[in-house]
Amino acid sequence: MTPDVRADAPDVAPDGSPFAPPAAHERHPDVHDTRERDHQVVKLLVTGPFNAGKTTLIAAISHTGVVDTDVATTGDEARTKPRTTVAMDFGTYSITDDEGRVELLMFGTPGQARFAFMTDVMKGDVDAVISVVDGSDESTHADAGRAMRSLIADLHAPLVVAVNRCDDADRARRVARRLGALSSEAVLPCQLIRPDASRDVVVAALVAALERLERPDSWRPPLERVIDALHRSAAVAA
Amino acid sequence: MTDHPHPDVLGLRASLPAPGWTVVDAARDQRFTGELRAHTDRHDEFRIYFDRGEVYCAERATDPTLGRRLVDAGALNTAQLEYGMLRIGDIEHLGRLFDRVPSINRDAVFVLNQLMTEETVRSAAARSITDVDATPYRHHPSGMHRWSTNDPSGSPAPWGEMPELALPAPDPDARPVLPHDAAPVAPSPATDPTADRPTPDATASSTPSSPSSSQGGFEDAPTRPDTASHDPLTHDLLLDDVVEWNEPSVLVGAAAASVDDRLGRRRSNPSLGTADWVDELGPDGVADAPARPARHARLPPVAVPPVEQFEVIWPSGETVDVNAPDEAASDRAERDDRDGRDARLRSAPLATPPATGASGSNGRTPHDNSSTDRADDRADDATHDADESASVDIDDAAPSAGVDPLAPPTRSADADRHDPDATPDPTSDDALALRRAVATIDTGSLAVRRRLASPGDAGPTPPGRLIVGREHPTAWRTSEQRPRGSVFDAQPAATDEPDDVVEPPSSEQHRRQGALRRLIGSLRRDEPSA
Repeated sequence: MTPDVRADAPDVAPDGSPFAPPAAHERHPDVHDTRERDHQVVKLLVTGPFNAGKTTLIAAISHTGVVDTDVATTGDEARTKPRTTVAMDFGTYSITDDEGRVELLMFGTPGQARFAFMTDVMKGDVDAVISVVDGSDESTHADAGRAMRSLIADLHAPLVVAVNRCDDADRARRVARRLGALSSEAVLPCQLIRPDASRDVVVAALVAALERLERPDSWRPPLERVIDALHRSAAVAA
Repeated sequence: MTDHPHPDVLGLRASLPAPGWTVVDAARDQRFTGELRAHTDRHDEFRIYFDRGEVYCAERATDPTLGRRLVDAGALNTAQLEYGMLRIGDIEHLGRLFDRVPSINRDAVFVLNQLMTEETVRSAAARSITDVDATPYRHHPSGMHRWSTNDPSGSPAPWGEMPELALPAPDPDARPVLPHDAAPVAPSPATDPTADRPTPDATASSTPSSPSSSQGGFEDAPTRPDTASHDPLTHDLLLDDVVEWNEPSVLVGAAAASVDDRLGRRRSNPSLGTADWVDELGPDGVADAPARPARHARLPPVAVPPVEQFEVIWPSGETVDVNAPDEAASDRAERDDRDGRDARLRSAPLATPPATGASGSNGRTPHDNSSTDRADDRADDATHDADESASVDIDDAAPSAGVDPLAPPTRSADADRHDPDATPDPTSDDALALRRAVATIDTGSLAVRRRLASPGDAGPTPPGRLIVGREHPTAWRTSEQRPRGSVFDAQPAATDEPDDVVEPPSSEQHRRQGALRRLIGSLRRDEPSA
């Protein structure tokens, strides 16, 4: 399976290698690199079950061409959609102003179960997680919730739940609670087929990341994660 | 710290860097006791404390102190932490936390510590450890390793062992209690040799005999006493010997023989139903109150000696027993005049307060506090009859409707009856001292309590309990000055420092926040691509 790389590929370094700015922990504070100081990278992880709308969301925001790793769907899933993501979706959104450059990287995990290992590969220094779920297909909610809770337990990142194909806020909250989302986590009913809905979801994820950054406590998150995990399990059981 | 510490206590350096879980397992396999400091590739430091291979505490180097974490998590309040902690330099020692503050919920502290430890260990286990420093027999500086050894009741170690419940499971064939079943009738304590109620022993290892298992089951099960109709007054008297129990008490740890005796009586009594012993146990292992209120036995009247049985010592040294019945009032008055102004004291013969008991004219029960208070009030009022100062008589000896307790006092009928010619001198020092001596007798008078609660503004503060000494600087003039409450009252979990104290963010964090804000602003402004 060869990924279909579009003509407008993402930025590359002068030597031809894909530009990958160093992670936050790798940047030495004493390095006086003007470009490095003014360059901020924000990573979002977009996850969810098969045919939830992850690729649509990323494509709606990305300035650059999305590295599309979709191939023709085989098996029973072909009846649902003709093409499916087999590796990951990657999109970028960047701004450059007087203060420097800010780059938003969006990683979309594959929804099929057999590609779940890719999520472990892409887990890392993400700033927020967007969990996209199809509000009209309840058969996928159980697996989506299980995967989401497992992901959140490992990552120390805020979560935003986007209930696609849903216009009712109450129904979206119920779906999110069944997945294991906490009441303090943002839940958005959306129609990702509309570009503005994708923008709202991404903005909500960035706001959640900003709120987490502004929290001064450094030790609370581990305990909160423990308590959150207990609450999620209780919410799912309820 | 030793002069020449062993460079590799656990023998792990050769295998570093290694996943954190391998380091933890190595310490467990070697039954290590002490502190293990694991440094990760991201310059984080985890401190894991072992006791014979078991992890009992784990934290990050950047974590606040254990006490602060427990307060923030809600297991303690700041007052409990302050009183339970011993400050030794910069160390907050919590080794005697539960001894110093018994009101602390041990289970909450243990569970929270376990949760925090597990979360930290899980986080460290997934990281790559680049360096390890192991210090044998160095325990957590808070002294928490002493919690298990200091608990006389055998509480578990803080690393997760929960105590086994003293109550065993009911017999599998025990029939559940039906709501319509009648409560059993207990034998009279006087006739039941096993009626003495043993104190439930939390550490008792003896298994209480299940009625159904020992006797092969009963016909009907009694219902749980109706707590909705529970008379609180009766409940307070359940431990009184005069209260007759009408229900057998089946307690945890009770002797098997006593239980069998009671069960035998229950079996022989057709009115008793089959009992599930679990249902007879209250929350503390004590049988619940009976469904019907206990009957109070009639007690003989208790003679309360008059309060004013005292001996007056005059400045001249002469002693007079004011309760001497043969002393005429006129002789007393003559002596008062002879000894001068300071010797004037109106001590009217007092009416013997009615005996407290059911045989009293008021028909009150022995444990009716109001009757006792009323007797005390009469005694107090008789004491103050001679004092026609502005003292407030709340409960008059002859209570009558419409009497304003805060109204200026008037000559009572008793005073007029006993000494119509008396001229009170309330401001004399001897009289004041005498009243103090009388008032120091704590009779639990309701009237006195009322005066304490509402001293009123009608006049000067009445003497007695309210004033320890006019010259004493710490005297409480009013009840409001009396300290109330306990230092262990529920304190808000909030710490002294404001919660929203925001430390100035580092430059990196500040730039990151700015970057996020710029991204958000840009996304909101931009038209989304179709």
